[in-house]
Amino acid sequence: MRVLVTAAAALGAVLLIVPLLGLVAESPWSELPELWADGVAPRALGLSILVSVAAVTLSLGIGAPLAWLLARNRFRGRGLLRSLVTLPMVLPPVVAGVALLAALGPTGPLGRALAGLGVELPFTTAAAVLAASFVSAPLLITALEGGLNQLDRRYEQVAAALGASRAQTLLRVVLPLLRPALLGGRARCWARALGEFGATIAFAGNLRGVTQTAPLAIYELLQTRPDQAFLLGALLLAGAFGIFVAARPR
Amino acid sequence: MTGYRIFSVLLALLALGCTSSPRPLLVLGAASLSEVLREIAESSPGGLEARFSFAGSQTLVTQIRRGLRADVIAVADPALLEGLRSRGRIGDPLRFASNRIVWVSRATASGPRLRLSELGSRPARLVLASPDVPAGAYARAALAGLDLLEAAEADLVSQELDVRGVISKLQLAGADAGLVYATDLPPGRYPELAVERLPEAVQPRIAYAAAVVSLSRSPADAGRFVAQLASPRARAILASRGFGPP
Amino acid sequence: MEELAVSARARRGDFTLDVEFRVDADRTLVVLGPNGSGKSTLVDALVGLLPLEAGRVVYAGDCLEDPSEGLRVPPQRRPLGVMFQGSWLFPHLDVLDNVAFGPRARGLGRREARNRALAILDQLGLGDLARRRPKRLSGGEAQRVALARALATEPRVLLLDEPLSALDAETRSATRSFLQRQLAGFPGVRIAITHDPAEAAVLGERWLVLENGRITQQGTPGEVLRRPRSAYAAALAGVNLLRATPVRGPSGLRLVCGATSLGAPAVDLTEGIEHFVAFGAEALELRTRPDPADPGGWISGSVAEISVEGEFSSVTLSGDVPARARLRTAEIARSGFRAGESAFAKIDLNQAEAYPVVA
Repeated sequence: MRVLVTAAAALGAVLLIVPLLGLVAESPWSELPELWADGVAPRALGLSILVSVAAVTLSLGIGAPLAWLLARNRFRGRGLLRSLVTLPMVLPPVVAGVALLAALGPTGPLGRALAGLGVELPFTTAAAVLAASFVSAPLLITALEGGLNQLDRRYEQVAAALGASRAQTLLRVVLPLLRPALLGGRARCWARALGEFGATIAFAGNLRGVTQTAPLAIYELLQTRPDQAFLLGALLLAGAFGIFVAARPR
Repeated sequence: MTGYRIFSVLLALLALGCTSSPRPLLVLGAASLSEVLREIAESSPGGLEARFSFAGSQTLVTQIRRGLRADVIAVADPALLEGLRSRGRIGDPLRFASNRIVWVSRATASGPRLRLSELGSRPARLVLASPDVPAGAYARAALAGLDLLEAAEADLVSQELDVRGVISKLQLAGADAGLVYATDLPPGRYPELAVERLPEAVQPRIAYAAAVVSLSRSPADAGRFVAQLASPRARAILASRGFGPP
Repeated sequence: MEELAVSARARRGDFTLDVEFRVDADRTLVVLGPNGSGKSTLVDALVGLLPLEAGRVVYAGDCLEDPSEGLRVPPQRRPLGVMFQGSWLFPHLDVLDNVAFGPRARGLGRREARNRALAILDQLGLGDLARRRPKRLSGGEAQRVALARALATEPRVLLLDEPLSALDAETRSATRSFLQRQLAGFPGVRIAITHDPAEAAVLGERWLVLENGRITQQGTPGEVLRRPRSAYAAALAGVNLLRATPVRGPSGLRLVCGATSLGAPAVDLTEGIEHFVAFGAEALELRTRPDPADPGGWISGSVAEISVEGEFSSVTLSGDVPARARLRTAEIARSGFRAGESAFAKIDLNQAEAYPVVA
């Protein structure tokens, strides 16, 4: 039994890791100076970091209250709401992008409201952030809701009995106890946002320096300079790995 | 707290992006046109500044249909533009280039390279673009013309989202043959892949067309951008990348 | 007078708690009740986690809750220190910060709160644990720290919910005497909640028996054990409890339970009023057939259960007079008692307590 489990685990690790090593090994590292020099790759990588971090922040901002609502309240339609907010996870990303276009594009109901305020989202960095958030926020929401469900409310009651206000309880008890769920959800959300492609290209377009994140730059490079596309992929991988290691919960 | 700081930086960047005054044209282009369109724009003597957003033709059409404000759209299938024009979303399309579907194959461990005529008579691993994207549709039409569609479907091991995927499968995943655009195989880039032209009779007419988007804020400049695609300078650039005349 | 006066009706799901009691400062009230009797509901209502439907909670003249006036002091502003069942130390804080949590929440600065926490930990002999994380504490240590944390807010009312139930037998007795000392030294109102009579006997001088959301009895441990007023209290005391009414007949006063006469009471009782009759197992004589030498007054029933407990065993009788007798194990075999077969009992009413059901 033990042997089988170990073997399966080893196979799994090989399946997951070897393609990554292959990408790094196959990449034409000698072309790195050229790739870097024309500015496309550094801009795309920088934008990727900006967009993914902003997407995580936005996901936290909208996801935490939603997770709280779902975990802590019994109301009609709760199950439906939960299914609906996690649905973007299963949507093929391009479809997610078209859905965003339909809602937030100039002809969509939300888009018309925004246009009334003088805001046009498509082809802006904000749209890229929104697209990334749309597909990655559900990961954070499910992680946070799971964490909240695991969290025994007795701790909050104990805090209240000890004299803590609701805000104090939230800051000094709930959030610290949710830390593992929060960190895990944040990492998954961030990774998903960093790799986002389909929703972004459909909703935000593929504009260098504005919405062209690394995955979109890789897509464009693949048309003409596939070697450099691989190289940029490897760079994205390396950057993500570095951030994962640095942000690893200790 | 870091979140807030990052968000405010982001907002500041957005604000900067919004205030840049002489707006360059926003050109939505089919991904296969990315290099040529950039080159044509850069060599433009009229100082037409353009920003590009490259994606699949279908995605671009969806974006225009949803009312996104761009100036020019250039796609790999004129038929796609017809719907937009009939709805008044774009002006009259201009055909500015053509492309061909070619048979591409490679020698593999299982044997010498597969010729198009051998399809169905030898075991093979065939890769095509998905029928939902133009490259896939063209490939199937050509195969049907050669009466090879059934054989092809039987040997099909993968359907790709675009032509790039077909080439990647050939390069990396051990596929034997596929059908791709001629422009995807510039001379010398893939020495291991052999190219075979299709008989003229079944070669689909693959045209590239561009049009001015009705919502354009600078329709005059957009019109100049579209017009220059038919200029001798643009033709030369297109030809150097394997595109044919319209 | 610094007393806590509670009159509370509260509902949780289908369960209703309806109680009324008072506790003076420097006294310990022990709330004793079986599982599901409403002990936790009472704790939550007193702490302010469960709103009252009706009633009034007053401490030292200050009203903490009165739904009729729409008044409800939130948990964080009640003068209560609570040790919840199962300690509930915050796992992300060390012992010192757990104990400092209350003072800090109530407005003390970090340093002052820690100083106070340290002082209390030292006072309870827990100073060495200050930098430990809760998961590295033993069960007994965790309970002591939980008490320190409850005391750190300088409460006027101390509420201990099943303070020992999570502990193993060995730790339990040490922690019990620790709690006993600390309770004695706490000058305010003390309420301890438990289901264990041995624990109750050590913790407090006044008992309140809670059953199914209602108080069935209040009094000193002696009163409750000698004159139980419910099957649960009788079980705590280990005695049989029947209801019987004194009836005057041709041969004088007799205690009648249903249609069965239990015999003549040892003392004069008011006729016609229902009484509880409590008696130990040793006051019940049991035979397989009536004693031919003394044929009158035998109560017939059947053996429901025989439970062998070493040298002595208990035999439970069912019928008009459900009761438990205690016999030598050897005697059971010799007399031929068998579960399901008939048996005859006689109660020695000289060893029984009889007291009116309506006090």
